[in-house]
Amino acid sequence: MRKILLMGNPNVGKSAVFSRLTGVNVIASNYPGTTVEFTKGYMFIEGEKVEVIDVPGVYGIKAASRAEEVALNMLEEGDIILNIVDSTKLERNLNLTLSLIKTGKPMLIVLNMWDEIKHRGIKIDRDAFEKILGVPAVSVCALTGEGINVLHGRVNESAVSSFDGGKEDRWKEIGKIIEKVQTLSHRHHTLMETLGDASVNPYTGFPIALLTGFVSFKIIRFIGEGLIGNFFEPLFEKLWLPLIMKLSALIGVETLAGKIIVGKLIDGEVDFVQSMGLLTTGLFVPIAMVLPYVFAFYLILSFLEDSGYLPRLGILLDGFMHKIGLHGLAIIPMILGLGCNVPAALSTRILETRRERFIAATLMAIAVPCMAQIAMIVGLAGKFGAGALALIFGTLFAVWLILGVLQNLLIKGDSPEIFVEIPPYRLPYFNALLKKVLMRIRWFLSEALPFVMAGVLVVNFLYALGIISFIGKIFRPVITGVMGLPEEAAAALVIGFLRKDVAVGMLAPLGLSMKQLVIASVALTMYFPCVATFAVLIKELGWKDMLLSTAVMIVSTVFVSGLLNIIL
Amino acid sequence: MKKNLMDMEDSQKGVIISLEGGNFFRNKLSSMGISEGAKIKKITGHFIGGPVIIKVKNTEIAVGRGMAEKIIVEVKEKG
Repeated sequence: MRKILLMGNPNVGKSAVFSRLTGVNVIASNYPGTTVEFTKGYMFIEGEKVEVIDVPGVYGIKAASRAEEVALNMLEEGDIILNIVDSTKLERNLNLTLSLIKTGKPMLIVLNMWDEIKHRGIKIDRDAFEKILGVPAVSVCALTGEGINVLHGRVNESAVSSFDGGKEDRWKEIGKIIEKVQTLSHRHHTLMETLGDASVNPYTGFPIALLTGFVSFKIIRFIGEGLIGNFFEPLFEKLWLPLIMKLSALIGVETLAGKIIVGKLIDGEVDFVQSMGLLTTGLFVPIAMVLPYVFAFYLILSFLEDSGYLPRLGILLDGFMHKIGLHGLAIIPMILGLGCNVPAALSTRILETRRERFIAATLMAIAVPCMAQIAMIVGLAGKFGAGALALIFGTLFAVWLILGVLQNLLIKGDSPEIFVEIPPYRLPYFNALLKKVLMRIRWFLSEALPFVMAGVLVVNFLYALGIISFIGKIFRPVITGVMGLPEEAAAALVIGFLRKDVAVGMLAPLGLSMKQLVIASVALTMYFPCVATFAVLIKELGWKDMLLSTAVMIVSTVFVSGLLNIIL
Repeated sequence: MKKNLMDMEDSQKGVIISLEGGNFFRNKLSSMGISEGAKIKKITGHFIGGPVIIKVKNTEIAVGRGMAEKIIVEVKEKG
């Protein structure tokens, strides 16, 4: 089967073109480095099935990061290259285009973001451009889908370029082409540009960042709480509960099926958090407690991603991030981690060195709780008031900071400086935004539901077989002695390997004091990543580094929870 | 007047005249369009060790301080 590679500079819209061509949905955002792995899809050209590959963005044909390495390894295998180009930055993009031409592969140039050039005062003579380079050039707007049909129809016209730039300096060569095909007219700064500059300027940028953070937090809480209180809780209490009670009466409370499906009754009634049945806790935790916050978080995150704010935040925090051995862009895995640690672990690939990836992955896995866990902590510890929550998340932030500084001091080597293209601000395109949020929700449900169910099942079996109390006894010196938690908390730590949200939920029946709940929540975040994250981390860091990272996690968990136990 | 990027003032313009570093450094910058002869505008600098923001070939780029010191620009006098 022929392979078609989508290649181009970072943040030119390769993933958007890919989704349009293949119908396969991939996450596309407005910052360089969204795609860190290649994705495959298929399409038909005149009846022939071909493979389409969305390749991470590169600036040249020498790798500068893990993600670029992935891209350049693909180059060998391609039969046709669709070179995606940002029309608003044609000159800059042509460097890669000329390098790709030198590979001697059939090519087609996709002039993306064609709709944007007009109001930026840019005119491009597409026909002249085609003639000079000797390959087809198609103008599209991948976000809205304009021009994609034409592109699809012309893929087979891809040609080996006849262009010979000679031996002159590359940028001079490009300058000559640009002179012939592009005219610029003067225009004033747009509002978006002024806003864009203001958010990276240190004097205006920090207030903007604080405001953005505050507003995001408020909106997430408003949507999350609103959905839970006004929709999901009533749904479960009023509609689901009566059905479950009927079912329970039918199969019997004390039968094995009853115990597994409905769980144990608390004071003769189903308690959706504590009963631990597949159709009670197994559904209530992921859907009624976690999903609303996950939805709210991804709505805000997707907006920040598509507007182009995330890299600006990274730039603003760059100086500060150097203190923990990272540069500003490492803020991206941390923020993604607040949603789910799995994609966050993958996104550490945007960092250049092994040292940075180790520091970033370790910090993220230890101190950044995912939204599922955050939602459960808020649900549980929120009863003790905002103070308890501030204590939990404040401790985690302090751990993040201190471990970062320590790793920066102790791990040999330097971290490279930030060097990143800043995308223009764009008003997110509503349909694309909505699609992305739905994609992430679907992904969350397909990941979370099976694991939560498995977690609930495992809990029941471990209890029934007496394994939980066995483990509790073994680790008693640590759990009770150091952390000051009851022996039964061992169960939560065991289940935390599978799902952290279920694990936090398991703390509910233990009747913990505020201090104990704070310690348990912090420990559950830090001690070990969930199995899904763990698997990705092994792949990204390798066994050796992951073992080291795990050691850091366990040691710092014991230390921090012990410390909390003493000072609180 | 020659200046490195760090010493340039905000919103000053100029032309890059040299990149003082090895091949890897020059390639890395050049592939993003920061090359000798390119027009450049400094958008803003940063305190506490943050980067310099520049505009080259209609693209805004954040450049770390160490790198910024090695980018030498012939600065246009204001007027």
